[in-house]
Amino acid sequence: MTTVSQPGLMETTAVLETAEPAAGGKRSSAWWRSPSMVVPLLILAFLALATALPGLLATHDPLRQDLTNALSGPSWTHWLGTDEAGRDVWSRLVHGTRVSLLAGAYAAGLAAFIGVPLGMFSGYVVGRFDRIAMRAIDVIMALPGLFLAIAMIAVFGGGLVVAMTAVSLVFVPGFARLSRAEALRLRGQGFVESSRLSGRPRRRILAVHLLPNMATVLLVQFALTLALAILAESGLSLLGFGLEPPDPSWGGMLSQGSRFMARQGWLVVWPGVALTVTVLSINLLSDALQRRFSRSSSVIEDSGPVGAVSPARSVARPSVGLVASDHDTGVPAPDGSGAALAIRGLSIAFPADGGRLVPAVDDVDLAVDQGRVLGLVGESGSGKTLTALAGVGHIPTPGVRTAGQIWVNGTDITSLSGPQLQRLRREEVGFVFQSASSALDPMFTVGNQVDEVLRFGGMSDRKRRRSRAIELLDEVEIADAARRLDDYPAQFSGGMAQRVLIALALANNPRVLIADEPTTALDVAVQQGILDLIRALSDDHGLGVLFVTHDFGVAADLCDDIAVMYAGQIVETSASEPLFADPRHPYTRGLMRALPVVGSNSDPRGIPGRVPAPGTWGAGCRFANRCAMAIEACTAEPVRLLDAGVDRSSRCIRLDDLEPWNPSVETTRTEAS
Amino acid sequence: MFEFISKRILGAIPLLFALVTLTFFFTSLMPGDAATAITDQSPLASAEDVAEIRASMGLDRPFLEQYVDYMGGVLQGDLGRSLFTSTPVTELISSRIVGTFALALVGTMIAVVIGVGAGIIAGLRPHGVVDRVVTGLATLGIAMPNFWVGLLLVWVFAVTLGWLPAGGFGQPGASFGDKMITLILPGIALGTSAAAHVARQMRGSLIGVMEGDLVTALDVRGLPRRRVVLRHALRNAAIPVLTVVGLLAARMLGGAIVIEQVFAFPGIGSLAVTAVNTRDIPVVQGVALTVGLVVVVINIVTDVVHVSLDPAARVQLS
Repeated sequence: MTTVSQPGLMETTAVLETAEPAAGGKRSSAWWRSPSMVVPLLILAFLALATALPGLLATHDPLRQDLTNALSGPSWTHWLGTDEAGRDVWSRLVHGTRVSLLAGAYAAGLAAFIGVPLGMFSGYVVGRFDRIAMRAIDVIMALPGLFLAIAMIAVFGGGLVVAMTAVSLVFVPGFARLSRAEALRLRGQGFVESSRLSGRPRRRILAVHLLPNMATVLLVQFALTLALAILAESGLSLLGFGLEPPDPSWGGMLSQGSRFMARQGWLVVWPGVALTVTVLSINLLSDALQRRFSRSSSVIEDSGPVGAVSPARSVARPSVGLVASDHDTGVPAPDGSGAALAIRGLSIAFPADGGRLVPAVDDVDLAVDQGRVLGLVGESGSGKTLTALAGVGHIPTPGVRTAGQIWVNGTDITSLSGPQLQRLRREEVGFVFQSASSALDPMFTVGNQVDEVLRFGGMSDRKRRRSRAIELLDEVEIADAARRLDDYPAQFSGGMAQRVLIALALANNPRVLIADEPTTALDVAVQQGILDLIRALSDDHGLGVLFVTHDFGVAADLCDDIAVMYAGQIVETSASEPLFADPRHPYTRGLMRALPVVGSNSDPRGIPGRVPAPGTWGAGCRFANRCAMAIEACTAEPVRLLDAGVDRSSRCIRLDDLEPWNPSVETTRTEAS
Repeated sequence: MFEFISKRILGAIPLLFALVTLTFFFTSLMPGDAATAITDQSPLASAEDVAEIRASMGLDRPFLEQYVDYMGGVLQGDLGRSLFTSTPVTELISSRIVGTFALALVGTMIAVVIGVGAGIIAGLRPHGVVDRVVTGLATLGIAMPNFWVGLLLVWVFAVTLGWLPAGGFGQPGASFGDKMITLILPGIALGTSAAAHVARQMRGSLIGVMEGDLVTALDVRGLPRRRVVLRHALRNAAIPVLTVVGLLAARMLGGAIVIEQVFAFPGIGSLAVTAVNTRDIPVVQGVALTVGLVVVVINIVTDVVHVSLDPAARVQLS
């Protein structure tokens, strides 16, 4: 068996992933040098300086009164003006930094000190301790933080230390929950488990294995908590629970200033600016930290701040418009009208660093006739999903079609406008995805979704739509169709959901069905039912089917014709029977050897090595580095599809040197070079 | 559905029970007790006075007995009386809570309307000009302390321009309209950062859906673009936003404490601050319990709304 890809449009994302690291890798090493990071870092450095050596930044004494010069606005001697006692506001702000930052750091630090061990232990040992601890946290979290803090101040009296201790307790649940979740995640992992089995003391495992692995997550949490604690400090000062006057603190300055607002409004502006700038800098840095450390988990970033635009996104992409074509005129205009689906010279590329286009699908020709099933077979990453999606005119962002045409029932879909294309998709071609559960809208009943497609397909009578919907569900052999129309997708099993998806694809009687690994995510028993259904639909309705799979066994079972794809190219085409009797390309032979043979004792063997990623393809044969028959000439120049018998072709220059087919003889290298 | 709601309510009972217990034991940790809190205010009180007050309030009885007594009172809706005005705590709270609710409601509405709107506009064209402006403002909005926003609003719109009242909740007997006007500035102050949070969540959630498999599938199904966005993508993207709104609504009760102070607004937050300053223990306890109860109710309502709007969550229940 070749690798089984995960549900969803995994193949396309795999392509995107391989296309992007070149762009992302370089930038990430210097993330802190990007302009959006320099400013916050400089601000924090300034704040650190103000905390350590306030006298360096402000020459006025923050406590010296000058009643003759009270409540003055910004001036040359007093940059930000003076307060009600004539004290210099700038100087008081600088000196107040220490209170804000240290109080915030104290509260966040104490919260981490209590919350992290508690959460880690709770998540690691689980059991009763965990249940009790989490209940207690639920109770604490039922009260909004500030209420909890002032309730504690009521008990233990005011003052900055008490106030910030109270604030820290408010943040304990955050740290505890996070470290618990991390501990739960890590405890199941191999290195922790083996350490536990080898009898290491629990405390050591927690300190040595768990803590370092959650350090970055905790760092981000600490930064966010620090920002919140700084805000809480000034809020409590404003309420009169913080530092006693006359010592300057930002919250205290706001509180004092609000009393003299009518005469000097700037007094309420400056401390707030200081607070906002501080919190903003911390938030921006923790965002950057978070993005940096979670980069590997997703290609698409969603909630990041502005400024992180990948070059890929700046390329405008018409939905099926042709972007650039090198050999548009070279191809003799083929007639696509005979076939249900015809693809000629299709190339799809993804933008990479510097606006360069990296091809992912390269000059693909395919034709599916009425009533026939064409299997498009290849390993993950070969470009088959991209080809299949192009069959309905969809190129995943940020990809572009760089060459080629696509005909559905003789209509060149690359020349259609947006609404025309949507109409064609509704009426002429159905598409079935690998993961039915993510292709159905969970918010609407199945009946609603079938009805929607029928209505936009031009069926205006509601009652007729309803009976047609029942008919469709019957056709895909869903029992009790009328009742099941009112069920939501979540109420369908994987196999049944896949049938619903097929029903949706068939709703407006298309002539073409494209199915992308429709059975991969299903149990073997359920698989067979779907395959039989597709075969029957093709036979009964004369449907042309393009069936994408990585599984040669499934292809052999279902398909009339086979096209084998490798690294963006078609490498072999043939009718099904002759192909299985005598494959004419070393790659096809490798794939077929990977199949388990019934009644044979020899283990199926995979092909060593991996499909080369887009952007790493050489000039010549792309399979050469995994092929036992490769010679120098193979990689010298591009290999064309060569005639390999009646209605057969193969992209191999050593086609004639192939041994007679014998499933047990190697044609691939045992070691990948 | 009914079963779900009753289950959630039953599940909240132990939590509330724990909350009452915690509040009681916690306030009993206080140095001194209600009697000294009263006599602290009058310097002439003698030790006999303290003992007398203690006896009259039942504070000389065993600790557990007091706890059982308190719990019994709470179950009957009796939260005790204020130490200084002798007004029943429930009466104090009910006279103040309407204002706080009104404030939190205005804040939540602002957060939802502005946050959802801005988030959708930004999320539909990620990395465009509008998106950059919205994300930038949202990042700023999250960093700005709500009480500072309040002070700036007072300075600009009340003190300098004189357009809106600087505080209060209308004079006693003020008309409904006058009361609503006093809610504008504190409502905005309370809603700003919440709107920023909602906008970020809405944007992220919409982008996630728009770039996800579902929208590809609906597009390939041949549905018009408008319909895919307006009917399908928005609905799917709204579900996580709903949870965030519930959290933010609960958090506004906390934010209201400082905002009420800034706007001299007679709500439950300013009641709490006064009670803490005078160490009026029954009032502090009562406010803590009430706020806890309200948060629990908000959480249940959020869950119920979530389940009633999200079929997948509903299916998971049964």
